[in-house]
Amino acid sequence: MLARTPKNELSDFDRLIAQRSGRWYQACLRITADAGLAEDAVQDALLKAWHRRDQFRADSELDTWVHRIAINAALDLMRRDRSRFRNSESPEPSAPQAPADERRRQEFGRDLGSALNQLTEVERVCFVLKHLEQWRLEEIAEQQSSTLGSVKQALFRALKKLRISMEPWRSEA
Amino acid sequence: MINDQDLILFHYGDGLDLAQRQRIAQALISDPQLADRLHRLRAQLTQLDDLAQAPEPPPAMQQRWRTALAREARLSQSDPATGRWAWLRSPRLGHAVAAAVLLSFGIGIGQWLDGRPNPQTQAGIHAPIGAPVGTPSRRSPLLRGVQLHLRDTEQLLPQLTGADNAEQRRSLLAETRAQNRMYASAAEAQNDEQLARVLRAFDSALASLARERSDPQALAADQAQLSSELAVMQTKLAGAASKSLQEL
Repeated sequence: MLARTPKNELSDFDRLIAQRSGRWYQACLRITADAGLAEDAVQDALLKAWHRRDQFRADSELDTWVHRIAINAALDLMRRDRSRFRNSESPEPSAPQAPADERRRQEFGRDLGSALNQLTEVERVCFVLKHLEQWRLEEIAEQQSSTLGSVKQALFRALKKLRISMEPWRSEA
Repeated sequence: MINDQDLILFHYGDGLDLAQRQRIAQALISDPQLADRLHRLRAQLTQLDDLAQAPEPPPAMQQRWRTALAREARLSQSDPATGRWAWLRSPRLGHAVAAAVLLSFGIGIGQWLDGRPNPQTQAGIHAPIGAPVGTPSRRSPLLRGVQLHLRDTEQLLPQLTGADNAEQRRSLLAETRAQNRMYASAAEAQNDEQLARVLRAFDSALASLARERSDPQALAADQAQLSSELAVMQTKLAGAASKSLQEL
């Protein structure tokens, strides 16, 4: 249960940020491919959640709500800021002096991130929302003001490109 | 014939009607090759799950979120009506770039305020100063938010001369542009295209600022000019916010 005094409520939010903001941020970053937009989206969601904090009965509800609102905010910010949008701005983890297995994992992650950045915006959004966020296709179509058929085709194109990009890793495996 | 697209939708359990799902399920039982295709497809899709492992937000970013929340809590305690626009008041504005940024921003807002019709001169219209018709009650929180933002920035001015590192300046500029975007979004949300245009145009100016910020003397001069500009701006905004409050 969230406490009802402002000081304790802030502590609850602080704790949730420490525990869950990674997931919120990652989702927004994968959608926007822009660290600044992802940060803004999470902040927007957090501040909206603060004003609705009385409606949440448990941290899990708040977490789910912020996650969803952050994604919507990310999509909205991206739409408003297409001119600033850059596929190449997505930061990737650095791997100095990592053990071999860890380096390999990080290389795989980088290749996967690069493959994601090769997708068009609509392909990436449909893929992230469906594959990583488990949205229903109808929800995605509604959010994107698109049709179910268009969303499916964008998802298929995205998966095809990603599977081709990651083929070398499968061959090695 | 069941193609990969059907199998993808089958894997997700989404986008197929009941008859299609049953048809594929039966085919998987009777056709080992199809079952193998689905198995390989699932392995490939599972491989993509690693995309969820994006970089964690840096601690500084988490701290900015906490600061924004704490500030929001403080403000909403003293003035609950400002909540809707309080997300504008994030303290992320950079130091070095902030001087020139706020200078330009101040001028833009000042022109915007000056150019707005005064509701006291418009018989029958009881909108806050500067508010477009149809959104009479939402300007005041925005004005107060901008006021607070400017006041915070004024407090940051003494630190401006410390931010002479090019990398830091680029980072601050990025933050400043994000801040500017939030203001533009707020203006759009209020259907205030005039203010939104000012802010969007301002974004272009921001992009050029970082390349011109290497002279300490110019920085000090900008700082002094900004102090003056901020004082003027805050006076203007205080007046506008006060009027709009009286009219609510």
